[in-house]
Amino acid sequence: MKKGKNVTVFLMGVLLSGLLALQSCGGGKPKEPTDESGSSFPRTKTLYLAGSQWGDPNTFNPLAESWQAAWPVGDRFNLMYEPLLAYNSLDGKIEPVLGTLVSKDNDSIVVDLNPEAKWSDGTPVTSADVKFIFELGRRFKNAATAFTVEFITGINVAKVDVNGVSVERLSFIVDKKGRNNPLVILDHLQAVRIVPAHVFEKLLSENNNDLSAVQKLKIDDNPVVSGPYNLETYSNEKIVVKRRDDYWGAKAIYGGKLPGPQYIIHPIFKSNDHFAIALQKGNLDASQTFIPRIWLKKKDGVSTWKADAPYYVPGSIPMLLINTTKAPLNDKNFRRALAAAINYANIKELAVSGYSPDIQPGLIMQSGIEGKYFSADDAKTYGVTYNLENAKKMLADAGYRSVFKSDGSLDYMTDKAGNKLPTLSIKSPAGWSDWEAMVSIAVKGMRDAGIDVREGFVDAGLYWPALPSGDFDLIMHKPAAAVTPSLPWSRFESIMSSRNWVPVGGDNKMNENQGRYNQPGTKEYNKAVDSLLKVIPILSDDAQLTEAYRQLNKIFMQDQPALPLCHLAEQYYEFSNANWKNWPDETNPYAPPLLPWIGASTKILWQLQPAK
Amino acid sequence: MKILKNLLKSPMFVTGLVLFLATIILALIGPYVHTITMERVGPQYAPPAAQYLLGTDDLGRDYVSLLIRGLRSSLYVGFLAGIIATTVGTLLGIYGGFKGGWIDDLINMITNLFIVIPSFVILILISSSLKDGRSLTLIGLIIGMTTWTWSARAVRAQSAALKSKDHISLAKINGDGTLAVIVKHILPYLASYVFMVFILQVASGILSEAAISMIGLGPLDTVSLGTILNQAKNNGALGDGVWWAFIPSTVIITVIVFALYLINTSAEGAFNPRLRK
Repeated sequence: MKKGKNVTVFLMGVLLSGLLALQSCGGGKPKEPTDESGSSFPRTKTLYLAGSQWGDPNTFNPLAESWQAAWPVGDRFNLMYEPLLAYNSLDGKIEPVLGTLVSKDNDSIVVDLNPEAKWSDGTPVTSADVKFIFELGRRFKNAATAFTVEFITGINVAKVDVNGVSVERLSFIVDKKGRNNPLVILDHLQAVRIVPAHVFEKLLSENNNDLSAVQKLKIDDNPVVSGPYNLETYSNEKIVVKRRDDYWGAKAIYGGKLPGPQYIIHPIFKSNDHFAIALQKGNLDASQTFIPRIWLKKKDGVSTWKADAPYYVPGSIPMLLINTTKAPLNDKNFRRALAAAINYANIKELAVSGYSPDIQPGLIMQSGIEGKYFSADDAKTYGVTYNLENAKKMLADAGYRSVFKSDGSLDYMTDKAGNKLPTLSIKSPAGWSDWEAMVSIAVKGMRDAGIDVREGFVDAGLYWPALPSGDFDLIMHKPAAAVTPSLPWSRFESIMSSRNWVPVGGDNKMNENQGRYNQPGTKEYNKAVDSLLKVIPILSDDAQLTEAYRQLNKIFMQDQPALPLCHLAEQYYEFSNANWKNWPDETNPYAPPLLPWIGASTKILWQLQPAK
Repeated sequence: MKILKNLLKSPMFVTGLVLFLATIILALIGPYVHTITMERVGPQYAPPAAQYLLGTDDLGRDYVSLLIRGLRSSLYVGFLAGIIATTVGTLLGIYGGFKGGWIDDLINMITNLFIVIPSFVILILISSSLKDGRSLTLIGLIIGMTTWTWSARAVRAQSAALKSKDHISLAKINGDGTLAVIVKHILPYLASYVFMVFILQVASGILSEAAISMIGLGPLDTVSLGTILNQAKNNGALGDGVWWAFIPSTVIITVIVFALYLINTSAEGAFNPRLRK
């Protein structure tokens, strides 16, 4: 009895102190300046979007690596610093931003700089700014944009007269002796954001011409930008950008109109499940996160591009890369058997909530802009589809034998010579629920086919270094994740190119073809792969291009250096009409299904209207 | 024997024991009564129905099978962690308490050091340094290695109190070494206490595993009651009203831990004459 009393007293104490703590938290906070609705950012003028910033915002420096800089400076976001051009992934057209595409051929890509373009400090955007960022890699090896100098020999500037206005015409000269790849230059022109040369040259000279010192600056205090929004405030909970009412493009591109939302707030959520709840409650207007079973959220006003399955527009292919240097994975018959053992329908239905079309063998999607290169006949003739019996037969024909335990479960597998094969492992970051499910389904099918393979979920800190160093048997990866003008070439390049082939081991790293497929100098080396990869970027004839892609896809299907699993959206795109309406969707496709800070989707900001 | 009789008179103990044995039986004979299958048996998150009594998970697998597997894993981790924590804690506690002096100080210092390190920090560090990832046994080991501290402290206090008892002095005079004294004359006195510590350590091992797995740091490529909850959380089952994804495993965890606490509390009454009714 005495003991019970003690417990009650203790519990009451805990409750009381908890209540007190809550009370003091609520009362002690200083109030932010508010309007009549009780918030410093009135809901009717503020757009809440999320999914592009996950960690704490560390820097807003546009010269930092794109993965380091926070939204909306990092990645290829164009709200503050704008690129020359924007790519419309729906129709494949190149749309003007700071510049207008005049022509492209195998010698050069020509862009006219908009003479109206201005920085927020009033100085005009000129060819000097463009040259600064594109040629920074020639001055500093550690420049984040150093990759561009591999492709262009230089930028020629000419003054031309367009409709009576003097315009700077920039010709990006293709480096024919180097990579000779105008396709990738086009990628760069819509991905590299132009920064004010006068600001950064000054910073460089203040820092003794030391780029790494300049890269460490945060550039978060009223930065000089050209875009429609500028940084207002930020914390570890949210980043706020404010509309620039003197944005040059309002007059020069959008007929005198400013974007609708005065503020855009990017709340920083730590976990995937927050997004769905925030969208359903109307606290978030759009997001780009994987939300399972989206159809259950429709009743709360969450919409997607398509009203029905697959809900999203396919744009990227998550796949299993195979380490082709390791036995038995160096045997293409074995790799094809792996492909035949994966239940693609289950992956589509269970791992990604049906957000994928039924996939076809090969690396080319059957829909969208690249659909014109897809050949159903080739897929049928050379491709492997899910068929367990076929997988078992392929393995048996190639001399592999599975040994089962007395309870019927798989014990191990032997190779042609009767040697026991090691258990293979599929590496994937732990906690990425959709990838984990894909891997589990793949493992299930492979084991059913008699292949000794296991899930190898590892912390993300181990996953990322394993990829370029080739430290895996099989590994989950989504190559060429962004839809750019160079698809599907860039997808083939990132899986099959032997351009930088180095063996596994030591500090050797490969940023493409991490599976070490097609080793040069061996008798199995297939020269056709690299020559096709080299020639496709300079082909302009559609028939030739289709033929080249068919050849490459055929080799991919025959050699199976990777196992594509499903076709997912480039970015998931979910929106709510609760506070802002007129989002683009399948019935109103005025912009691609991306959040309004990428590519040609920025124009969404001009089309949104307050719902109330 | 008398203690057991005393225990069986306590309805609290009997309830705890019955509940605990029920979970053990479920774990042991479950696979013989219900066909355990890790195959897909239905659509994603199908509600409970005749062919899958507790519905299906995100991969369309039968939740009854998963729960039986998960229960076995959780009990394994709980017992492993309990055995390690109790053994390490008891040995260090008795030794330190009995020896006193600088050895006691040293052991105390180590104990205090371990108390302030949260187990999941060690878990993250260890798992990221291990190539093959986290196994069930590793999780059990880590929980055991980070929770022995309070058993060490509790046992130390008891053994320090025993140290000055007459029979210990007598044994010492008779020429018994430290080890002999501890094994023959101290451990028997503490056996009931150690038993209760063990019960609590098993319960906390099961809870720790569930907590660690729930936040995504649990064993990889095995099913445990905690990983079932983690999968349900990661797949947004809560938001979609899929109650069968998390209620059953929560109930099972609660029942085991509740049963163990009942056993512990009632055993305290039986072992301690002052609390006996």
